[in-house]
Amino acid sequence: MNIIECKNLTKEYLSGENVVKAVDNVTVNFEKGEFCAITGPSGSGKSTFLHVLSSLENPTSGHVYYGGKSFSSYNDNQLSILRRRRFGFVFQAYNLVQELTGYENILLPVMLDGKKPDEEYLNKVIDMLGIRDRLEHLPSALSGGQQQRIAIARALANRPAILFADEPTGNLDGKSGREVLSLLKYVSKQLGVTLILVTHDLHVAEQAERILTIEDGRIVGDTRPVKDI
Amino acid sequence: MNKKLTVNTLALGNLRQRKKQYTLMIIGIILAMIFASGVPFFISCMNSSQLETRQRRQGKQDYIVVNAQKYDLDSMAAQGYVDEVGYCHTLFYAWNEKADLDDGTMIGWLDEKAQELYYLHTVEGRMPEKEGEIAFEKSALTRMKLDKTVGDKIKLKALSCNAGDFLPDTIEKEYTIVGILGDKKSNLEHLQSSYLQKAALLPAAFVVKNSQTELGGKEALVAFVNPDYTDIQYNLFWENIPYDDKMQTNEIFSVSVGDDYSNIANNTFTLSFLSVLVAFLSCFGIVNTFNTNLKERKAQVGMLKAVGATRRQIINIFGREAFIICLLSAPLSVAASYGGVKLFARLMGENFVFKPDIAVLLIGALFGIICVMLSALIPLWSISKLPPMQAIRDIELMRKMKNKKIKSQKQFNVSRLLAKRKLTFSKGRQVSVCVIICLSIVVCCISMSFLFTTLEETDSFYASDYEIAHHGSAGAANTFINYKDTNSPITENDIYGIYDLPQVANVYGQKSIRVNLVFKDGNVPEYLQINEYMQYAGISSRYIDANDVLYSRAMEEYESGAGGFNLPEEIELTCENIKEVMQAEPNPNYTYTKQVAGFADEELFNTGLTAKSAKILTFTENEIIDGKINYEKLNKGEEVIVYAPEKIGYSYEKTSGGGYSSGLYNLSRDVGTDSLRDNEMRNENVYATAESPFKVGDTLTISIISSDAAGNITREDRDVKIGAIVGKNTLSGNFNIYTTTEGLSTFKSKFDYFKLDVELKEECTAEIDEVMQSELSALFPGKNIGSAFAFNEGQEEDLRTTVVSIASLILVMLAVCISLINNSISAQIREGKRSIGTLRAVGASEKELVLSYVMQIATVLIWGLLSGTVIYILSYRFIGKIVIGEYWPVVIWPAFLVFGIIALCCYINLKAKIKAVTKYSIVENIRELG
Repeated sequence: MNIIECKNLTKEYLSGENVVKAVDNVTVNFEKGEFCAITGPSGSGKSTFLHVLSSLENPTSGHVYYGGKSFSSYNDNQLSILRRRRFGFVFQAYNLVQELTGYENILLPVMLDGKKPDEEYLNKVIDMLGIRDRLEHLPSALSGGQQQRIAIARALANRPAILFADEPTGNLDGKSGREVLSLLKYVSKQLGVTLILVTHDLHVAEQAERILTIEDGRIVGDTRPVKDI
Repeated sequence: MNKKLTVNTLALGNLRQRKKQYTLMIIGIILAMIFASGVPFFISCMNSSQLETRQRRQGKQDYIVVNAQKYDLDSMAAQGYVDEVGYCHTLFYAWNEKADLDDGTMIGWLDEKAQELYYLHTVEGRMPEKEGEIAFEKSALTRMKLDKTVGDKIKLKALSCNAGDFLPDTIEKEYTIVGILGDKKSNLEHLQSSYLQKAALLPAAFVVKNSQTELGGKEALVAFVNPDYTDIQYNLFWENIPYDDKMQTNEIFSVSVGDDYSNIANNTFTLSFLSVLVAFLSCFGIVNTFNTNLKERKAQVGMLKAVGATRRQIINIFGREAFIICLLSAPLSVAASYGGVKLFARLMGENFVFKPDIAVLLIGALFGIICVMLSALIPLWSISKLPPMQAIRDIELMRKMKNKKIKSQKQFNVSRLLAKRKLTFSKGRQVSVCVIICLSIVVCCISMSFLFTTLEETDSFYASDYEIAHHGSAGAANTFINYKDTNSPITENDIYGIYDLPQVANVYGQKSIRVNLVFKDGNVPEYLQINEYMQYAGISSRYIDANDVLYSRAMEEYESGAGGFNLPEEIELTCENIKEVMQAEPNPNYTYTKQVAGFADEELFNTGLTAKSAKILTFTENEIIDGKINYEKLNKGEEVIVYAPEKIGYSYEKTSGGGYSSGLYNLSRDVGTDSLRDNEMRNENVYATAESPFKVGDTLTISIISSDAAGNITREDRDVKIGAIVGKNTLSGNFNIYTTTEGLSTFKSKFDYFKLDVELKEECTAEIDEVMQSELSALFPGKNIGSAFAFNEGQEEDLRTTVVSIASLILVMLAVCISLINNSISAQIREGKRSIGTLRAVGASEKELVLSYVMQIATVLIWGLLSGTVIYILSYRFIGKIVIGEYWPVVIWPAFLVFGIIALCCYINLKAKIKAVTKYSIVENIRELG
């Protein structure tokens, strides 16, 4: 069952006087609960594709459908609500709000939604990520790995349907990167969340159930290595 | 590579490489310098404009002496009693044969000094240069009913002057009008209505220098004089113009109204105070500009320190950079502020002048440079202290955060929590914004309150459209007795005559007589005895004025060559000897009055009784301390109103030249004279105080003693009750009695009016004023007629200058404040783009983003409002105390108005800025692209 799909998705940028197609007429579907890695060389358009797919950017043309409804039919406010309730984001640079503690960062989407936090669920996520003792710290007092775990917890706080991760291990050393990736995989499986991850690291991509390869904004490969084995 | 690397080349290199960044900074600095250098220009402009207004209206001279040929003013000038003297040579009295003879004007010419002092200015055309040419004051043409302009030829009837008189034959004079002059004589007449007759010889039309009267005539001289104000010289100046002449022949009068020079100085002081605050605020702007710039360049400072630059070198490099910008932008800034003030002066009309000398220009430039350099060095000093790595990595915020003990909130409102945390982590910036708001509120509130005080002062008195004043027979020696006025007094018939004029709605008469309170037991209360110490305030004392006696003795000593012009030692008053000194010699007039009026053991306290119409008396109702005005009982003569403040004090001060000044003050007044209220504060000056013994319902025995034309004395005693006591807020401590004109008419002795107030049916216009002045002059020949319309024209000009100055200051202040705060908001949003992107990514809407900033700004604004209001209240009272010696009443609402305006502008800017940021995609925000 498809959770998100895109049709003829195109994203163009102006670079000086030239138009650059970062995403070029992409049509692809993602199934509920799958772990999909998007890979490709630097500048291939994989991050842009993820951003457009996750509503962080608007496409130049084409549509993204979530639950059968195109993003273009949402206004800004509705898109904000969609992002806070149904999507989770993990960025390469963590992007934690510097003025809030680890716990407050995790609570952000829940509080923005005006809900009472589900402490049982949050405790489960926090324990799975092993960050209980870092919750009272401000981001500036945390290491990169710890910040990324907080970012993952934040992305999962509102029980999202899809977790988008843009090079989540890019800023981490090998060991931390591996740990974060395992956690992402583990948590998304445990919570039944669809994980769409952008990486240029083939070792990371190989751990996904499905690998989309992008070159020059086009999907040039769509493989399912785990199933193949 | 033979280029030498110096601090200058580094500084210039920086300037070249960061063009865009510097463009913004230079714009900020130029703006700040414009404001800073504009401050001295603005103060100079306001000061010279007020002087110009005063001089255009009244001239530069302080005194005008009519029939000056009688006094040897030139030798007085040679001896130093007079600083400046110029002469007007009055030749003819001329009138239009088609109009009344009374509506004419004097014609004369001014010598060079008189031209400078009388300060004539041409509105159109020029001054006469040859025989047959004439220039008229604008209002003189109207009065003479001459519908002529520059270039027209006129024929006038004239009488040739013969010193203080005229030759009998009417002659004809022909002139060509070459100039229309700004009003001067008519202004002096309106401003000095009680001296109207004195100004009769002053011309309102001028011919070429050295013109002559007709054969057989002799020109009359009018002198424009500025005396030497040092005490001794000033006294001698007056000694040379005999006292009797001053009072009786009306040949010298002062043109200084209400101490106008000191008012100008006070206004300039207040404006300077406010302008310096504006400059101070500009400095904040520059600090802010440099701070933002340096913050973005912290890494550069770190790198320089890492490669071995000392703190001094860092300050040198960046300081020189600031100095270079300063020098480059100084001419532009000074030119812009000069041009701005010049344009402002031009737009405001001819009374606004801005002619700065080179010193003011240099002060302006220097002030601007000093402001900029000081403001630049403050952030530079703090940044140069940072260790290299801290500067490179910009870990200041990290350190701040680490040092704060933050406890996680388990549930929170995102906008509120973000606002709270931002306030915690960027206190410095918030404090700057708070100070800016605080200062703006202080300046705007002080300016507005100052304006309201001025406007209220203008509005707080009853002013009729016309006032006809009669000054009675001069020189009535014994003021215990009311002598018959033989000098054509104002009667009831005159009032009927005014009512015949179609424009008149109401006429209110006022009578003023002398009454004596009778104390049968011979005990005059202490309160009234202290009143008797003030001889010139309407009280005829039972004793000779001690000061007068001693002053005469000092003069005798001086004239005999015994010593300097100093009051003898025995004048030294103390709290203990005041009674003895003031009651040393009995007043022969008092003894005589008691004898002729048939008093024996009784003691009399002499005071004034003023009778006004009920309508005018209602204006005293807000002055009531106790009781209520019962007009019915006043009309029946059963009750009176007494002016008796609860506590009074007599103060006496010796002046540096050996004279003295004294006053009787209301010590229970709500505002003002606080320093007098407490004896400890000015113990050396307050020698006697007393509390009022009067209560509502007390009975006073009033004795009116009158003398008819034949000199027969009559006495009428009556017991009246005190219906109301007034004297709440007024400064004076002098006891007085009031009743209605009907109340006074219940006494057997009949008295004439000394003043009439005329109210018009509709608002007065220039045309109505002209008709009314002419009609009233015909009805009351020789009486002083004051026109509120004409007077207000002059007053309005002053008021306009004040309002414009203050309004400009408020606008500049608000503009500076709003731009600085908005700069700060914009910088915060620019710096927080990544955070905004993140919040958007996790689902924050634009509304929530705006709300978080609104909460942050609102907190700072409220702090600014509170601190600004408190500082304003304290400082405004302080300024009032310095400027006029009184605490000005504070007005709080401007603080809220200013707060509202700033808040609204901030909100609009905030919303626009957030909208501009959210226009870009979340990814662009996070990557800080958009």
